[in-house]
Amino acid sequence: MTPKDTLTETRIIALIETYGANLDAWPEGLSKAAAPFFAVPSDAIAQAISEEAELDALLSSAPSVEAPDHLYAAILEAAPSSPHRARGARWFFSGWGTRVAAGASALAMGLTIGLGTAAASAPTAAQADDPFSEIEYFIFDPIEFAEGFEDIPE
Amino acid sequence: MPAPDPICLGWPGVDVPTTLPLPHLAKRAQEQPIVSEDKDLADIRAAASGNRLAQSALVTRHMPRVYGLAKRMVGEPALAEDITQEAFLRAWKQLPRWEPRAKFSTWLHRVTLNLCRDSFRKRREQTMDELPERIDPGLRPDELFDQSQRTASLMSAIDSLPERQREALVLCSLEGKTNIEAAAIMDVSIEALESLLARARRKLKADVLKRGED
Repeated sequence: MTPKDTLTETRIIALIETYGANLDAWPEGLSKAAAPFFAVPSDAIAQAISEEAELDALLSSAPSVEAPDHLYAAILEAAPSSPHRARGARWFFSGWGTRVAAGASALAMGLTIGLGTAAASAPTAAQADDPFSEIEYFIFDPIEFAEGFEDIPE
Repeated sequence: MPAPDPICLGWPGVDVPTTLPLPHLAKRAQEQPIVSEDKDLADIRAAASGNRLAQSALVTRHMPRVYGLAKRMVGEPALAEDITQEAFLRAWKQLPRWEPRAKFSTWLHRVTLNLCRDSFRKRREQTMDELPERIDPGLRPDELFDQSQRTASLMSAIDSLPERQREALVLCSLEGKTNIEAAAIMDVSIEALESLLARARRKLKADVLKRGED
Protein backbone atom coordinates (compact mmCIF):
# COMPACT_ATOMS: atom_id res chain seq x y z
CA MET A 1 0.00 0.00 0.00
CA THR A 2 1.45 3.37 -1.01
CA PRO A 3 1.01 6.57 1.02
CA LYS A 4 -1.28 7.81 -1.71
CA ASP A 5 -3.69 5.03 -0.88
CA THR A 6 -4.03 6.15 2.75
CA LEU A 7 -4.64 9.84 2.05
CA THR A 8 -7.45 11.21 -0.05
CA GLU A 9 -7.42 14.47 -1.96
CA THR A 10 -9.95 15.90 0.48
CA ARG A 11 -7.76 14.99 3.43
CA ILE A 12 -4.70 16.50 1.75
CA ILE A 13 -6.53 19.78 1.13
CA ALA A 14 -7.69 19.80 4.76
CA LEU A 15 -4.10 19.29 5.89
CA ILE A 16 -2.85 22.07 3.59
CA GLU A 17 -5.44 24.37 5.15
CA THR A 18 -4.23 23.33 8.58
CA TYR A 19 -0.44 23.22 8.33
CA GLY A 20 0.11 25.41 5.28
CA ALA A 21 1.66 24.91 1.86
CA ASN A 22 5.16 24.08 3.04
CA LEU A 23 5.56 20.36 3.61
CA ASP A 24 8.51 21.01 5.94
CA ALA A 25 6.08 22.62 8.40
CA TRP A 26 3.95 19.51 8.51
CA PRO A 27 4.27 16.71 11.07
CA GLU A 28 6.96 14.38 9.80
CA GLY A 29 4.84 11.31 9.12
CA LEU A 30 2.18 13.27 7.27
CA SER A 31 4.65 15.21 5.14
CA LYS A 32 6.19 12.00 3.84
CA ALA A 33 2.79 10.58 3.03
CA ALA A 34 1.68 13.78 1.32
CA ALA A 35 4.82 14.26 -0.75
CA PRO A 36 3.48 12.35 -3.81
CA PHE A 37 0.40 14.61 -3.87
CA PHE A 38 2.62 17.68 -3.90
CA ALA A 39 4.89 16.26 -6.60
CA VAL A 40 2.00 15.88 -9.06
CA PRO A 41 -0.82 18.01 -7.62
CA SER A 42 -4.40 17.90 -8.84
CA ASP A 43 -6.04 21.23 -9.73
CA ALA A 44 -7.78 21.40 -6.37
CA ILE A 45 -4.58 20.67 -4.44
CA ALA A 46 -2.60 23.17 -6.56
CA GLN A 47 -5.18 25.85 -5.78
CA ALA A 48 -5.07 25.08 -2.06
CA ILE A 49 -1.25 25.20 -2.12
CA SER A 50 -1.33 28.57 -3.89
CA GLU A 51 -3.79 30.10 -1.39
CA GLU A 52 -2.05 28.80 1.69
CA ALA A 53 1.41 29.77 0.42
CA GLU A 54 0.26 33.37 0.41
CA LEU A 55 -0.81 33.13 4.04
CA ASP A 56 2.45 31.34 4.93
CA ALA A 57 4.42 34.21 3.41
CA LEU A 58 2.42 36.70 5.40
CA LEU A 59 2.85 34.74 8.63
CA SER A 60 6.60 34.55 8.07
CA SER A 61 6.68 38.36 7.94
CA ALA A 62 5.24 38.62 11.44
CA PRO A 63 7.71 40.56 13.57
CA SER A 64 9.66 38.60 16.15
CA VAL A 65 9.08 39.45 19.79
CA GLU A 66 12.09 40.57 21.83
CA ALA A 67 11.99 40.19 25.60
CA PRO A 68 13.08 43.33 27.47
CA ASP A 69 16.53 43.15 29.06
CA HIS A 70 15.39 43.94 32.60
CA LEU A 71 13.05 40.93 32.65
CA TYR A 72 15.97 38.51 32.86
CA ALA A 73 17.31 40.14 36.06
CA ALA A 74 13.85 40.45 37.58
CA ILE A 75 13.17 36.73 37.11
CA LEU A 76 16.55 35.70 38.51
CA GLU A 77 16.02 37.94 41.52
CA ALA A 78 13.06 35.82 42.53
CA ALA A 79 14.95 32.55 42.06
CA PRO A 80 15.54 30.43 45.17
CA SER A 81 18.79 30.92 47.03
CA SER A 82 20.96 28.01 48.14
CA PRO A 83 19.49 25.63 50.74
CA HIS A 84 22.23 26.61 53.23
CA ARG A 85 21.21 30.23 53.00
CA ALA A 86 17.56 29.31 53.01
CA ARG A 87 18.10 27.17 56.13
CA GLY A 88 19.95 30.06 57.79
CA ALA A 89 17.10 32.41 57.00
CA ARG A 90 14.54 29.94 58.35
CA TRP A 91 16.53 29.54 61.61
CA PHE A 92 16.92 33.31 61.99
CA PHE A 93 13.22 33.99 61.70
CA SER A 94 12.27 31.04 63.89
CA GLY A 95 12.40 32.82 67.29
CA TRP A 96 15.81 31.58 68.45
CA GLY A 97 17.52 33.65 65.81
CA THR A 98 15.69 36.82 66.78
CA ARG A 99 16.43 36.21 70.48
CA VAL A 100 20.12 35.72 69.83
CA ALA A 101 20.15 38.80 67.61
CA ALA A 102 18.42 40.86 70.32
CA GLY A 103 20.98 39.70 72.90
CA ALA A 104 23.86 40.48 70.59
CA SER A 105 22.56 43.94 69.81
CA ALA A 106 22.04 44.68 73.53
CA LEU A 107 25.60 43.59 74.24
CA ALA A 108 26.90 45.71 71.39
CA MET A 109 24.94 48.73 72.65
CA GLY A 110 26.30 48.27 76.19
CA LEU A 111 29.84 48.03 74.93
CA THR A 112 29.41 51.12 72.78
CA ILE A 113 28.07 53.22 75.68
CA GLY A 114 30.71 51.90 78.09
CA LEU A 115 33.61 52.50 75.75
CA GLY A 116 32.24 55.93 74.80
CA THR A 117 32.06 57.02 78.41
CA ALA A 118 35.54 55.70 79.08
CA ALA A 119 36.88 57.57 76.09
CA ALA A 120 35.29 60.84 77.24
CA SER A 121 36.93 60.63 80.67
CA ALA A 122 40.21 59.17 79.52
CA PRO A 123 43.34 60.96 80.83
CA THR A 124 45.49 63.06 78.54
CA ALA A 125 48.83 61.71 77.43
CA ALA A 126 50.68 63.85 80.06
CA GLN A 127 48.36 62.65 82.77
CA ALA A 128 48.80 59.13 81.68
CA ASP A 129 52.58 59.54 82.06
CA ASP A 130 52.25 60.92 85.61
CA PRO A 131 50.93 58.24 87.93
CA PHE A 132 50.30 60.82 90.73
CA SER A 133 48.37 63.36 88.67
CA GLU A 134 45.00 62.13 89.88
CA ILE A 135 46.15 61.56 93.49
CA GLU A 136 47.45 65.12 94.09
CA TYR A 137 43.88 66.49 94.23
CA PHE A 138 43.37 64.56 97.40
CA ILE A 139 46.58 65.76 99.21
CA PHE A 140 45.91 68.56 101.75
CA ASP A 141 47.81 71.81 101.00
CA PRO A 142 47.74 74.20 104.09
CA ILE A 143 48.83 77.32 102.13
CA GLU A 144 46.05 76.89 99.60
CA PHE A 145 43.69 76.22 102.48
CA ALA A 146 44.70 79.55 104.19
CA GLU A 147 44.41 81.55 100.95
CA GLY A 148 40.95 80.25 100.62
CA PHE A 149 39.91 82.00 103.83
CA GLU A 150 41.26 85.35 102.60
CA ASP A 151 38.64 85.46 99.88
CA ILE A 152 35.75 85.25 102.35
CA PRO A 153 34.22 88.72 103.04
CA GLU A 154 34.13 89.77 106.66
CA MET B 1 42.65 25.86 14.34
CA PRO B 2 39.58 23.80 13.49
CA ALA B 3 36.24 25.56 13.61
CA PRO B 4 34.36 24.88 16.84
CA ASP B 5 31.47 22.50 16.68
CA PRO B 6 28.44 24.79 16.33
CA ILE B 7 26.32 22.38 18.33
CA CYS B 8 28.56 22.83 21.35
CA LEU B 9 28.67 26.62 21.21
CA GLY B 10 27.20 28.14 24.33
CA TRP B 11 25.35 25.09 25.54
CA PRO B 12 27.04 21.71 25.53
CA GLY B 13 24.61 19.04 24.52
CA VAL B 14 22.40 21.37 22.53
CA ASP B 15 20.68 19.63 19.66
CA VAL B 16 20.00 21.93 16.74
CA PRO B 17 17.58 20.30 14.34
CA THR B 18 18.89 19.99 10.82
CA THR B 19 15.53 20.22 9.13
CA LEU B 20 13.44 23.19 10.09
CA PRO B 21 9.89 23.89 9.01
CA LEU B 22 9.88 27.40 7.63
CA PRO B 23 12.61 29.99 7.08
CA HIS B 24 11.30 32.35 9.75
CA LEU B 25 10.88 29.48 12.20
CA ALA B 26 14.34 28.20 11.32
CA LYS B 27 15.80 31.61 12.14
CA ARG B 28 14.01 31.70 15.49
CA ALA B 29 15.12 28.18 16.30
CA GLN B 30 18.74 29.15 15.64
CA GLU B 31 18.37 32.20 17.87
CA GLN B 32 16.97 30.05 20.66
CA PRO B 33 18.33 26.56 20.19
CA ILE B 34 16.27 23.60 21.25
CA VAL B 35 17.89 22.04 24.27
CA SER B 36 17.89 18.39 25.17
CA GLU B 37 15.68 17.33 28.05
CA ASP B 38 18.73 15.92 29.87
CA LYS B 39 20.32 19.35 29.93
CA ASP B 40 17.12 20.88 31.26
CA LEU B 41 16.83 18.20 33.91
CA ALA B 42 20.41 18.73 35.11
CA ASP B 43 19.82 22.47 35.27
CA ILE B 44 16.49 22.02 37.07
CA ARG B 45 18.17 19.97 39.80
CA ALA B 46 21.04 22.41 40.17
CA ALA B 47 18.70 25.42 40.05
CA ALA B 48 16.51 23.92 42.78
CA SER B 49 19.54 23.80 45.08
CA GLY B 50 20.24 27.47 44.46
CA ASN B 51 22.84 27.21 41.71
CA ARG B 52 22.81 30.63 40.06
CA LEU B 53 24.43 29.43 36.83
CA ALA B 54 21.77 26.76 36.33
CA GLN B 55 18.99 29.23 37.12
CA SER B 56 20.49 31.68 34.68
CA ALA B 57 20.74 28.97 32.02
CA LEU B 58 17.06 28.05 32.42
CA VAL B 59 15.99 31.68 32.18
CA THR B 60 18.20 32.36 29.17
CA ARG B 61 16.94 29.25 27.41
CA HIS B 62 13.22 29.55 28.05
CA MET B 63 12.37 33.15 28.93
CA PRO B 64 12.42 34.61 25.37
CA ARG B 65 9.91 32.05 24.12
CA VAL B 66 7.72 32.32 27.19
CA TYR B 67 7.65 36.10 26.84
CA GLY B 68 7.05 35.76 23.09
CA LEU B 69 4.05 33.53 23.69
CA ALA B 70 2.64 35.83 26.37
CA LYS B 71 3.20 38.95 24.27
CA ARG B 72 1.54 37.40 21.22
CA MET B 73 -1.38 36.23 23.29
CA VAL B 74 -2.13 39.28 25.44
CA GLY B 75 -0.62 42.02 23.30
CA GLU B 76 0.37 44.40 26.09
CA PRO B 77 4.11 44.27 26.86
CA ALA B 78 3.68 45.08 30.56
CA LEU B 79 1.09 42.35 31.02
CA ALA B 80 3.28 39.91 29.08
CA GLU B 81 6.16 40.73 31.44
CA ASP B 82 3.97 40.10 34.49
CA ILE B 83 2.84 36.78 33.05
CA THR B 84 6.42 35.73 32.25
CA GLN B 85 7.57 36.60 35.76
CA GLU B 86 4.66 34.74 37.32
CA ALA B 87 5.34 31.68 35.16
CA PHE B 88 8.95 31.56 36.32
CA LEU B 89 7.94 32.23 39.92
CA ARG B 90 5.78 29.11 39.72
CA ALA B 91 8.66 27.27 38.10
CA TRP B 92 11.03 28.21 40.94
CA LYS B 93 8.50 26.88 43.45
CA GLN B 94 8.03 23.71 41.45
CA LEU B 95 11.72 22.92 40.90
CA PRO B 96 12.40 21.03 44.17
CA ARG B 97 9.46 18.73 43.42
CA TRP B 98 10.07 18.49 39.68
CA GLU B 99 9.47 15.09 38.14
CA PRO B 100 10.45 14.60 34.52
CA ARG B 101 7.06 13.37 33.38
CA ALA B 102 6.75 16.24 30.91
CA LYS B 103 9.25 18.44 29.15
CA PHE B 104 10.08 21.50 31.22
CA SER B 105 9.44 23.80 28.25
CA THR B 106 6.01 22.24 27.64
CA TRP B 107 5.09 22.65 31.30
CA LEU B 108 6.33 26.25 31.35
CA HIS B 109 4.41 27.11 28.17
CA ARG B 110 1.27 25.54 29.58
CA VAL B 111 1.57 27.59 32.77
CA THR B 112 2.07 30.70 30.62
CA LEU B 113 -0.95 29.91 28.50
CA ASN B 114 -3.09 29.37 31.61
CA LEU B 115 -1.95 32.73 32.97
CA CYS B 116 -2.89 34.32 29.64
CA ARG B 117 -6.31 32.69 29.85
CA ASP B 118 -6.71 34.05 33.40
CA SER B 119 -5.95 37.53 32.16
CA PHE B 120 -8.54 37.13 29.37
CA ARG B 121 -11.06 35.96 31.94
CA LYS B 122 -10.42 39.01 34.10
CA ARG B 123 -10.75 41.20 31.04
CA ARG B 124 -14.07 39.58 30.16
CA GLU B 125 -15.34 40.23 33.67
CA GLN B 126 -14.97 43.95 33.06
CA THR B 127 -18.06 45.67 31.76
CA MET B 128 -18.26 46.07 28.02
CA ASP B 129 -17.82 49.83 28.42
CA GLU B 130 -14.43 49.33 29.98
CA LEU B 131 -13.18 46.90 27.37
CA PRO B 132 -10.61 48.34 25.00
CA GLU B 133 -11.99 48.81 21.53
CA ARG B 134 -10.96 46.06 19.15
CA ILE B 135 -9.07 47.23 16.12
CA ASP B 136 -10.78 46.35 12.88
CA PRO B 137 -8.56 43.61 11.46
CA GLY B 138 -9.34 44.55 7.91
CA LEU B 139 -7.74 47.68 6.56
CA ARG B 140 -9.24 49.35 3.52
CA PRO B 141 -8.11 47.71 0.26
CA ASP B 142 -6.18 50.80 -0.78
CA GLU B 143 -4.18 50.53 2.44
CA LEU B 144 -3.16 46.95 1.79
CA PHE B 145 -0.67 47.56 -1.02
CA ASP B 146 2.17 48.01 1.41
CA GLN B 147 3.75 44.91 2.99
CA SER B 148 4.24 46.55 6.37
CA GLN B 149 0.61 47.54 6.43
CA ARG B 150 -0.26 44.02 5.45
CA THR B 151 1.78 42.71 8.37
CA ALA B 152 0.04 45.16 10.70
CA SER B 153 -3.26 43.98 9.34
CA LEU B 154 -2.23 40.38 9.95
CA MET B 155 -1.26 41.09 13.56
CA SER B 156 -4.59 42.81 14.16
CA ALA B 157 -6.38 39.87 12.59
CA ILE B 158 -4.47 37.46 14.84
CA ASP B 159 -5.46 39.57 17.86
CA SER B 160 -9.11 39.33 16.86
CA LEU B 161 -9.10 35.53 16.56
CA PRO B 162 -11.04 33.57 19.19
CA GLU B 163 -8.79 32.70 22.11
CA ARG B 164 -8.22 28.99 21.41
CA GLN B 165 -7.69 29.54 17.68
CA ARG B 166 -5.13 32.22 18.46
CA GLU B 167 -3.32 29.88 20.86
CA ALA B 168 -3.10 27.18 18.19
CA LEU B 169 -1.91 29.60 15.52
CA VAL B 170 0.66 31.33 17.74
CA LEU B 171 2.11 28.05 18.96
CA CYS B 172 2.27 26.29 15.59
CA SER B 173 2.71 29.04 13.02
CA LEU B 174 4.62 31.70 14.97
CA GLU B 175 6.44 29.89 17.78
CA GLY B 176 7.36 26.86 15.66
CA LYS B 177 5.97 24.21 18.00
CA THR B 178 5.18 20.82 16.54
CA ASN B 179 1.56 19.69 16.55
CA ILE B 180 2.35 17.26 19.37
CA GLU B 181 3.99 19.96 21.53
CA ALA B 182 1.23 22.49 20.83
CA ALA B 183 -1.48 19.96 21.66
CA ALA B 184 0.31 19.08 24.91
CA ILE B 185 0.66 22.75 25.86
CA MET B 186 -2.99 23.45 25.10
CA ASP B 187 -4.04 20.18 26.70
CA VAL B 188 -6.11 19.12 23.68
CA SER B 189 -5.99 16.24 21.23
CA ILE B 190 -4.12 16.51 17.93
CA GLU B 191 -7.45 16.47 16.11
CA ALA B 192 -8.78 19.35 18.18
CA LEU B 193 -5.57 21.28 17.57
CA GLU B 194 -5.82 20.71 13.82
CA SER B 195 -9.42 21.91 13.83
CA LEU B 196 -8.50 25.09 15.73
CA LEU B 197 -5.52 25.71 13.48
CA ALA B 198 -7.53 25.26 10.28
CA ARG B 199 -10.27 27.59 11.51
CA ALA B 200 -7.71 30.20 12.54
CA ARG B 201 -6.03 30.13 9.12
CA ARG B 202 -9.39 30.28 7.34
CA LYS B 203 -10.36 33.36 9.33
CA LEU B 204 -7.02 35.03 8.68
CA LYS B 205 -7.36 34.42 4.96
CA ALA B 206 -10.85 35.92 5.01
CA ASP B 207 -9.78 38.92 7.11
CA VAL B 208 -6.46 39.77 5.50
CA LEU B 209 -6.04 38.17 2.09
CA LYS B 210 -9.62 38.22 0.82
CA ARG B 211 -10.24 41.78 1.99
CA GLY B 212 -7.09 42.85 0.20
CA GLU B 213 -8.48 41.45 -3.02
CA ASP B 214 -11.81 43.31 -2.68
